Amino acid sequence: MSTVSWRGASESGDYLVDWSKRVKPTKTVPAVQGTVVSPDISSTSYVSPDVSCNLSDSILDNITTDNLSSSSISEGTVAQPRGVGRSLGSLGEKLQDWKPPSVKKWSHAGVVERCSGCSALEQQVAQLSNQLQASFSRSHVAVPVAAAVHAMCTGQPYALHCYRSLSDKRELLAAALRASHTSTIIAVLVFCRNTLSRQLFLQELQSSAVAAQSYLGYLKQRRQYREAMELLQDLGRHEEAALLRYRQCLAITDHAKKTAALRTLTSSSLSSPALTHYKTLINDQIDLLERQKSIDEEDSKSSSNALFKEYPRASSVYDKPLLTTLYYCAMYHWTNSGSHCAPAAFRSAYRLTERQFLWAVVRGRARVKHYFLPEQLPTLLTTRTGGMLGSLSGALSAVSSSLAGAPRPSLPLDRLLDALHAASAPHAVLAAYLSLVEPRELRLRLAQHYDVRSAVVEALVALKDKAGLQRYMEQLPPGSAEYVKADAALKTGRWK
Amino acid sequence: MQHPPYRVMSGMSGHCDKIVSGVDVWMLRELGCRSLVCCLEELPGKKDLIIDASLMKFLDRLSQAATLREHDVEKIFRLEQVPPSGQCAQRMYMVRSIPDSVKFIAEHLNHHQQELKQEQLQYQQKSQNQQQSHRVPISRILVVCVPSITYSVECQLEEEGLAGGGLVSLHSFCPGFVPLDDDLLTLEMPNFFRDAFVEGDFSSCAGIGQSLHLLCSLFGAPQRLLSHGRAAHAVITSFQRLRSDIDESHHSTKTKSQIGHLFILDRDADLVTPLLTQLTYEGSIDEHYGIHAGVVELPENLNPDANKPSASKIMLNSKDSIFASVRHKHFAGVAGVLVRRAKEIQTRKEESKKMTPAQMKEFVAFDLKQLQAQQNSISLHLSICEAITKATRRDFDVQLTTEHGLVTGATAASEAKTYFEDCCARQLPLSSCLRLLCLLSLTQSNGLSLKEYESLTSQLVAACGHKHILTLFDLRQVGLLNVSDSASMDQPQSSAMRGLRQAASNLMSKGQFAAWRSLTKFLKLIPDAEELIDLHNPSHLSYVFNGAYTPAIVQLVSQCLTDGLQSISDALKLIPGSTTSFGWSGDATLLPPVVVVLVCGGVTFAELAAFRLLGLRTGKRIIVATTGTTSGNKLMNSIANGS
Repeated sequence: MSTVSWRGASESGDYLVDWSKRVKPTKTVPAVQGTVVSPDISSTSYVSPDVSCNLSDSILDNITTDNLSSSSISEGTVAQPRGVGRSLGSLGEKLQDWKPPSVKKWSHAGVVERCSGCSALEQQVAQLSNQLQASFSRSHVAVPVAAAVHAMCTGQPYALHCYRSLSDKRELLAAALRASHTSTIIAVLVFCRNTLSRQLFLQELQSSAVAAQSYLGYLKQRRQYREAMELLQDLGRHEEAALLRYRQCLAITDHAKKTAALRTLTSSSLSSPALTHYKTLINDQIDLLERQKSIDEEDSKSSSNALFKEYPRASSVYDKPLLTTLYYCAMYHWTNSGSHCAPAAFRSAYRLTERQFLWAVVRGRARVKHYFLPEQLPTLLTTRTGGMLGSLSGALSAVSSSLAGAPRPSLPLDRLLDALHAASAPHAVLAAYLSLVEPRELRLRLAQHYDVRSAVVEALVALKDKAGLQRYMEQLPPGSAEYVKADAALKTGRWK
Repeated sequence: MQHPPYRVMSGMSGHCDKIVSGVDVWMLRELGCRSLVCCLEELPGKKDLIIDASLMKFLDRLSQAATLREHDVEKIFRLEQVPPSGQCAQRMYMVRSIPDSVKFIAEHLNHHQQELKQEQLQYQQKSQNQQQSHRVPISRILVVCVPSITYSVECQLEEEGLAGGGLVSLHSFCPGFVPLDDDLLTLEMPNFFRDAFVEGDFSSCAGIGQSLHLLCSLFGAPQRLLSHGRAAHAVITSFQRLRSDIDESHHSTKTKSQIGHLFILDRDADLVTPLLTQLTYEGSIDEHYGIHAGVVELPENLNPDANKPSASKIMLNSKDSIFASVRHKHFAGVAGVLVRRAKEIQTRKEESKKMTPAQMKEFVAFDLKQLQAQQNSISLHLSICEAITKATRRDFDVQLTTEHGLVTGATAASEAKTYFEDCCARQLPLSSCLRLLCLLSLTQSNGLSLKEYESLTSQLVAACGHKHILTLFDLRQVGLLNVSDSASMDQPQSSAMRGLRQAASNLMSKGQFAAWRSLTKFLKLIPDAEELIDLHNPSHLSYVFNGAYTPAIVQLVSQCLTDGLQSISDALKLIPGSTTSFGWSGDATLLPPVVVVLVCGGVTFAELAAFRLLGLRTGKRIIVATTGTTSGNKLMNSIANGS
């Protein structure tokens, strides 16, 4: 057998092929082959072109076949102390496994006479193995905790597996927390999780809020939600655990699955009395989703409703906020009294305040050019049938409530006017609201701003501003209703 | 190493013709650009560049596409789930250090390899003479993590089976601060506030520390330092780690210090300021249109170039002398100033008609172009003023009265609650409702009671959607939403109710609710009602909020500069986080007159205006460095979108 330089990759490659040719036909040693060449070794170290593996191959070959001066090995290790360190470590293990059979095999294969100084070689093998083991353990000596954390913070290579005692781990975590370097804290915590019992790991997290928060953040970033939820439960942070679960329910797109998941959530995670607020809200949400689904299904089919032609739907109402849904129903389903999509049904189902209900209804109706007069607003609240406007009972109750001095609809007039003006309400409607505005100076200003002429005239009359009225009359087209009105007021009114 | 006074060539940046106090911040841009080039050369040869969307604006301020092309970048893509269509064998991804970016990259790679396989199959099946432009197998991918490689990114890469092996490698790139103006440096980390103060993830602080170190390697280490806050602590630890490493390696070389004071503070030292509506001109632009990395995108109708009717992007900085003169003014006075300037220019132009031909020649050569540019700028800003006034809601005065009344205590909580309910019922934008709710809770001495909290939040979710249950919880975590837990002290939820901020605070929970009120007293944040605050020729820092409130961070710096560190020690105890300080014993008059204020989590334009006034008042040059300019809307949206 020729001597082969173990450094030449291609040569050693050729040699490998050669070697396998030689071994395979010898069927006399199948058992040896089976035990020696474990599958991963055969695939990685003999076929792979990886440099380090080749190196290990070549060294082995040289050990068993040829007299190799120990100086060349030490040369190799000295030349590349850092990079080769790891491969030597694994090489040490391989050596342990391989030495006896391979030595046996080669001695059986009839190279005995070439290997005359057998005991010398064995000595050499032992020596080398010791050397390798020493270098292996050198890299496994724990460096001081501070140095390890510094290396982690500055992005240098590090190894944590040598910190095996619990106190070591605690020190490591404390040092990482002192460095307040989140990435390092997480690396240490992941190491702790992998090497400590759950109970001990939890103790560590409980002792430091920053550690717990960092680790939870890591789990969320890595989308390991299940573990994050379990951890939150174990840490006694039930509210957060429930909300994390809620977050995942929201990500479900299928309606049936989503509502089912939300139902399980309310019955299981939110059963604690401290979380009733969430339970109420999420129950409302489930109810709303069901309602929206059925509204959406009906409306996407129905072609009878003329409103859909005049005001095409911008989008599906599904998964929209509650008030948006009410606005939508006020637009399209005003007359469907008694059904699940009637605006009045919303008010009772979701315990809406007067303000919430009125704003949504007024805005929704104004969108389809249906404007309420101020005196109609209270009727919206009292009619139970949902929008039977001008019904006698409603009007009567409105009158009686206003007589009894009940507060006016709780909507601020300036904002109401703005909303109606934006929805291009006719001047008569705006004038009705303007007449309620106090003080009169503000009424005049608003009337001028929205250019409601009759209201300007009325405000000027109310302010007893004769000169102002005369000036304003000059802008009005003679003969118009406002002109006539102003003219009449100038003639009949009592002026300062 | 000593740096000579450095002057940016006017052709290169166009900014800063004068050198103020030796510190030329535009050098940082140069430096950042160079390290970007180094980063590009890590992957020699032709490559496609895929950039995270949140980094694009930042890179744009740092460099130009031409520079990228000079360094063999073929095509530039935005990082999305959809794989890029580039044809290069090499790819460079420039991403934030989050696992999701790695996931995208792994998906892109898988997609590419599958396509490659399919194409090969087709190629084999079809006739050989068909020349198809088939894909090149990817030979190398360099993933550039900004600002540093984190453990979770390494883990994700390993899990995707891409670690080692030589195909994909990680590289970190810390560009440092990028100047947006002579006195404003940014890192453009739009997610920092959420990551740090909601999630408790301070991993970006290492990058901030590194950027600070870069700044100090140019302008010298600060002679006095004050840092307070959780993020600030992480930043200063990282900064000192880097400095000690350098000191060990180079004993002799030290840059002469040009920075007198360095303040590092967290956004959560003052959460009230972003909740208040900004009233300076620049602040109003930010509230209405949003300024991102110094650029505002104006709607079509405001485009100064009438020929191209499309949304226009305007760079807002003091290069535009007209804008520089009005940016920090109270909005109410801006139009007046602009009109006056327009008249001045008009008279100068009219004067030119009486000029002799020689004078005229000079005028046309030097002044005319400048006057023309100023006139254009005036008309642009006048139209912006007009548009903002038009877009302001009818109840703006009610809103302002409520905000300022809550801060000064003039408005009763019940009144503010009614206004909030009205805003919800009218379905105003989420951020407006949330700002008001948070302001209400912070200014009450005990926060909101549990009952109030439940009633107000159910009205909010009715208007904005139930999913914002999550947003509300996150707001409590940050400490933007204070809920009194006296009723439920013994219940398990109480710890969560208090939120992260209070868990990290130095005080016990009992006193914590009164913290903001006490802070206003210690720092004198609320001017006396009798004190007359001139809004248009301001001398008081509170002019930015109509004289109702002085931004706490600015006041903290102001008091510390004039009365020393001791004067604010009581106030610092009320702010969560720990304090680090050094160098406060010596004589202050010998210090260089440059003050750097680093605000982790974003700074508002109202605060920038107040800092500018403080600089004028103290005769110091105040440079504000930050993770990005922010506003109440940006904060609220970053919290709501993450939820």
